[in-house]
Amino acid sequence: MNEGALKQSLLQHYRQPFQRTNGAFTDDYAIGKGRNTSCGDEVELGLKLDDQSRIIDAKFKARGCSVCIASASILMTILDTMKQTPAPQQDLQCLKQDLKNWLEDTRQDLPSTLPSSLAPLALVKSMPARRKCVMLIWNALDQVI
Amino acid sequence: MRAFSPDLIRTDFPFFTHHNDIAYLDNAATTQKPQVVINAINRAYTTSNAPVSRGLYTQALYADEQYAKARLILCEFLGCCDPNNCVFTSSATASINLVANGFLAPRLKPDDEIWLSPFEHHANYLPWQRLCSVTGAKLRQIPMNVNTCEILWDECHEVLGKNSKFIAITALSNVTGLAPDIESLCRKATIASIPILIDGAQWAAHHPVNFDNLGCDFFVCSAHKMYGPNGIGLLVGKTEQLEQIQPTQLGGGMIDWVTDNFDDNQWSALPQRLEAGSPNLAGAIGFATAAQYIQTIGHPFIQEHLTCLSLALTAQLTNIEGICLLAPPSATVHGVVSFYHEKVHTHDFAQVCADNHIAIRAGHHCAQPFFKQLNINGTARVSLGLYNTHNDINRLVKRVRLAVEEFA
Repeated sequence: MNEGALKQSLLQHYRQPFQRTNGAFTDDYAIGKGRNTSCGDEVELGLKLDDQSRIIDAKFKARGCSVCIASASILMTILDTMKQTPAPQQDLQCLKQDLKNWLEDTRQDLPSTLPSSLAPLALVKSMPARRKCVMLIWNALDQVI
Repeated sequence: MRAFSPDLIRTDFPFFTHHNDIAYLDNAATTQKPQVVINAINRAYTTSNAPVSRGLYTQALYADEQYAKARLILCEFLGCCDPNNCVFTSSATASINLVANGFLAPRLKPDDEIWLSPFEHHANYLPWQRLCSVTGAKLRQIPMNVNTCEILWDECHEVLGKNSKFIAITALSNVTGLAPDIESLCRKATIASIPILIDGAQWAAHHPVNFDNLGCDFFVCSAHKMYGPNGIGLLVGKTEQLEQIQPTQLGGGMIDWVTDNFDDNQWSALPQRLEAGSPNLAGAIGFATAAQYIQTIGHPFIQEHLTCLSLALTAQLTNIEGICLLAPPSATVHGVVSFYHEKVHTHDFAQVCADNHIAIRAGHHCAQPFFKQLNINGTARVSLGLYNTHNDINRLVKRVRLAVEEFA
């Protein structure tokens, strides 16, 4: 994907984020929160799990920049594909670490270990200050898996 | 006084030779350095480098001279008649901390009040907040109109009330761009015998300061915010107030006689007593050179230039749908303008600008308590300098407009 296409994809996630909600999470959602103190961005991730820790539903609330919202939306699409996957925790932790490594390595193309839905975040590789914006929702995920 | 032209001024700053496409609009964070300042620092290390007040040899005596001369230049620049009342520190932040811990801490009692403006930088908020938490004193803020950020002077009689024991206020807010009427406040504080500290970090670069006439007890500023080097600032104070500061940094150069009993130690006279450690000679020389550079341009021209640019900027920004200025254009004529948009995050503004070589700041600008009073996360901030031009402003406005189209 060229840079223009990546940007359009990122903007699409920003303008029409997947699984973004404004309502309150009910008690059957485990909630993880993230806050970027330097800019005041806040995210809240709600994860509904069954008794075998499989994802039933995932939503997020956020006040943030385009990168923050887009990253959250992309994560929601990933979680959506992992519904009913038994014990996804380890997979998600590996994904998070691979994402972090990929963002920090300016040379590396999207590795095969990462889903293609993360490709638009390649734009952030040249913006080190925005990596925190990407990882905010992933750090919130840590709290609930 | 040389003829003033921002394009000509720009050629004084080597940074713009290396980055000739940048519109540097982040001067409230730090300013660029003119070649004369860089040369002075270079000369300090090549010809003047020797310990200050510590040697009897020629080079050491020369270092003493240069340090004293730098102090004198800055003293005159800030309108203080006594160079002993100009204390070199590492920064305005360090100066404020020195006053908080060395002057106010010993005299503060529970229920005493420290008064601040509603939009202080963390450097002029946190030292007082800590002091209050330790002593039981109360941190108070002068109320403001949350729509315009202007101070509501008529609603803050308590700032001069019987419980008020100290006032710390910025001369120019790094976030709102507003300049409180410090002259009036200093007069009233003096009458009420309430010590007052003025944070001149944003003010001193572009506005004349006459400490002796202003009537405040303390005035602080930082070199790097006024075209000087990093790592050095000033605390200017009235003699009777500085004399009362208990040194908070102890070490070499600030003590005449060390005894076996700490309480019997004999500290040096001012200002050395408050300048522990090896003086930053090169920094002082660079700082003084920056002050002289500002004087060659002249405050009248600087203020006219910044006012003109500020008004042009705010006029253009208000024409962009959805853009909100933090404060009224008529009040933000000193070169600091903050704005936000309901639907566009400040980071997105800043990134679009950065991608087009325009340097602005986005976020809370080290003024979190201020933003808690408003229902916004932060702002994008433009802060102007000597070398900024209308072209810089036009470039910025173009990108802001495009960002709104893209993200809103």
